[in-house]
Amino acid sequence: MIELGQIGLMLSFVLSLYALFVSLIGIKNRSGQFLVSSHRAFDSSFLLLSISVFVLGQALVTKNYELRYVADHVSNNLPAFYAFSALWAGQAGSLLFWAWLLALFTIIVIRQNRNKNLELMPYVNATLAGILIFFLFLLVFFTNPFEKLGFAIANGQGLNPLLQNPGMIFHPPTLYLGYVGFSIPFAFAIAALITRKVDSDWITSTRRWTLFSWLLLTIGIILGAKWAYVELGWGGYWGWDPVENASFMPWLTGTAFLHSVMIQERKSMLKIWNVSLIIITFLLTILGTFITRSGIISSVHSFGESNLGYIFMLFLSTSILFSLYLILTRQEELRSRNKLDSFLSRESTFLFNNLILIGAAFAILWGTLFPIISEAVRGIKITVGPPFFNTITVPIGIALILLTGVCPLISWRKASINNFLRNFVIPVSVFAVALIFLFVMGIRSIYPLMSFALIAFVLTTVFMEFYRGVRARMHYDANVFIAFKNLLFKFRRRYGGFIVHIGIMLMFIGITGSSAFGTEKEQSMKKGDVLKIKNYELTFMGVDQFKTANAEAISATIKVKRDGEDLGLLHPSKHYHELQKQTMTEVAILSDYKEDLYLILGSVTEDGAAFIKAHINPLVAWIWWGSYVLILGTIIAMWPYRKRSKESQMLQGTEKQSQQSLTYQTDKETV
Amino acid sequence: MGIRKKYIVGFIVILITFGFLVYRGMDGAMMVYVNVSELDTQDANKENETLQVAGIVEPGSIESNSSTRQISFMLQDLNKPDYTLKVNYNGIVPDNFKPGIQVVVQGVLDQKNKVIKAEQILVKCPSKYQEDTKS
Repeated sequence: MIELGQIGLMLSFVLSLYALFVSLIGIKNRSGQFLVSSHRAFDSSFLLLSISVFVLGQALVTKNYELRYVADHVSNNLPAFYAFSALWAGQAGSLLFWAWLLALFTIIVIRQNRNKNLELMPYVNATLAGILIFFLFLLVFFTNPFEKLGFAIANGQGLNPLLQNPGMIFHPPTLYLGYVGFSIPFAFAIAALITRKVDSDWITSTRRWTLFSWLLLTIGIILGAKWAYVELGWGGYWGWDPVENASFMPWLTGTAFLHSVMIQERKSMLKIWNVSLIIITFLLTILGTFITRSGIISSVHSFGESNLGYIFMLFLSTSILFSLYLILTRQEELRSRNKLDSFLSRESTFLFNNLILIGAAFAILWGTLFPIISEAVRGIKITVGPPFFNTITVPIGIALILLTGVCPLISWRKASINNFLRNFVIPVSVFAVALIFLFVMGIRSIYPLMSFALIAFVLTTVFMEFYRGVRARMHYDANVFIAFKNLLFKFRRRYGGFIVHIGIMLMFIGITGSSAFGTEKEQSMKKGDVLKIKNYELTFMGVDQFKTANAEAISATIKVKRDGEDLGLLHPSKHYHELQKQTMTEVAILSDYKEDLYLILGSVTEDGAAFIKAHINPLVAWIWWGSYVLILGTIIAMWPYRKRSKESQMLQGTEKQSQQSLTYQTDKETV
Repeated sequence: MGIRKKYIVGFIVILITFGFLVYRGMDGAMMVYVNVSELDTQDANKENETLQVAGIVEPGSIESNSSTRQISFMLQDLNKPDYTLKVNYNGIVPDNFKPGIQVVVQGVLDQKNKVIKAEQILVKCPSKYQEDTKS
């Protein structure tokens, strides 16, 4: 059974080499037959990888310690779903998962494009085959999940207790879906460059892939933040760790890409910019996987150094050089035929939004890689702490909020001063009122003042957009609700986008509140002692000891009162996991829309006294709520248009027919 | 002013702002990272500057007082066990803190008495990755 997994892995590696080889021959001979053959190779490769994933998953769930990977990651008493999630807990397993997802996406893309993008597809094929080969090469030769342990053991090392959290089941796979998804638009961009067809076709063909990847990456990041918040027990959700940064950088460039493609679609400008952005985003996802899995950067996350680094570096630099070569040799096609009409235009706000997002990504990259750079150049290891990232990202975040609000107020092409002023009156008044209100409420520091007031400004502009849209639709629709529904579903991309903006603003409320106004207090407490923090009174009722399924627990009982009102009991605890000899802090959180009360149990003495640390984290819940709105908005924006897509397919079809005769003689099987 | 010039000016303003932010941000956020055996080097010798020292918590050296939360232990070099440094810390130690584990101590060094007053103790955190199986 286990051998089946190994064989599947080997064969799919051979098949992906074959897929690349026949794609290239097909391209050279302009023959569709070879292309069909490569499609079959991809299908088989996917099937074989599925078997490998299944075999590894089964070995994990059934605790088959013959495999080193299984012995290292699960133990006898680990529940089945956590045992399965160990598939992505380690290096080999997670790279196998990466490869499997890529194979899955590839065969979906092939099916989506049976009759479309016939000129691009051979190159898309070849690019995706190249990426798949890289990951399978790593798996076969460097970090094989099917490596045998060589001797029998009775119990495995077990999954780290920190990973035994529902977050483990969803956070890594969603993040990976996002990472891998960006391979698709990347492959199309490369294909567009090679074929010199750099108009908007490759962008519109992959628009939903991009949105899908962006959405999954976003969800993955938020799940990670939530997990860190409830599980790591330091009171925060984001620590600017290299691994967190690794997922945030492609998110920033991906966000920039989502915006700038609109300019290319409308005005056929920014072609170099867009191909570069998606290439950078893809490279950052690879860099992210690399940072996460190799331990190259000295961080609290870093692990035993591995030799994967050089191969990743080789792959990254080859991709960079190849992309650069393509861009430099295709400058003529990439030159835009149009010019911007006016500085005061919506296009400008998109440009500046892009510049700021890219700048943020590079500043974070700088801070993340600085320890490596400084060690290489000066021989001194220097780490860059969270203050660096906060210094740069807070003003950048505020500038982005401002642009989010200004953007819909300025018309495309050229805004007249009158139109501009008229649009600005209401939102700017709201901004001013909010500013005064917050000031009177006692907020004096500049960043939170600006942040909150600008969020009010942005929300006003978005609601104005909806109001105007609904009012215009009232000419056709019976009532407000139908008008709203039609507005949303007839212009999904636009209004879905606005809903995403609302979600982001809600998240910014939470981020601003929790980072600017958090307080904490710690105290050694005996039975009956009271800890007072803000308007809370926390009474220590004592500690209990008991056993859980795989740990020994010490749990404190704390009576919570706010403004004299009884809010019940909280139980911050510590779980000692015997197998891993590790203590886990289980925090207790009492959350509402205003703030989170976050309690941590520190050391406990023999006479029953304990150390309690309390955090008040204002508005944190808004981050999670905002993310739901964001998810909803993105799904609306990417929901397919049924009728219109048929029309546009027909339109594209007539366009494509003329091209088909020039490119490939597709045989009946591809049709 | 032509539209092109406006963009150039706008971009330059943004770039300068970024440059300034990165410069400002680096100031005070950079910490020298050394092993215990490298403490005598020049980079680690600056007065009153926070630095990070990596090492192993020497087994048997942990002394703690749970009512005051004071904890002290000897930090041992990863490869040269003869080099040690005394660490004083006042706070809740991370979950996986235990004898023999690899930690990074962040704090201000008292070079004369060979003591570091820790502000933070970072444990090599195994979240998301595999356990170190070499042991």
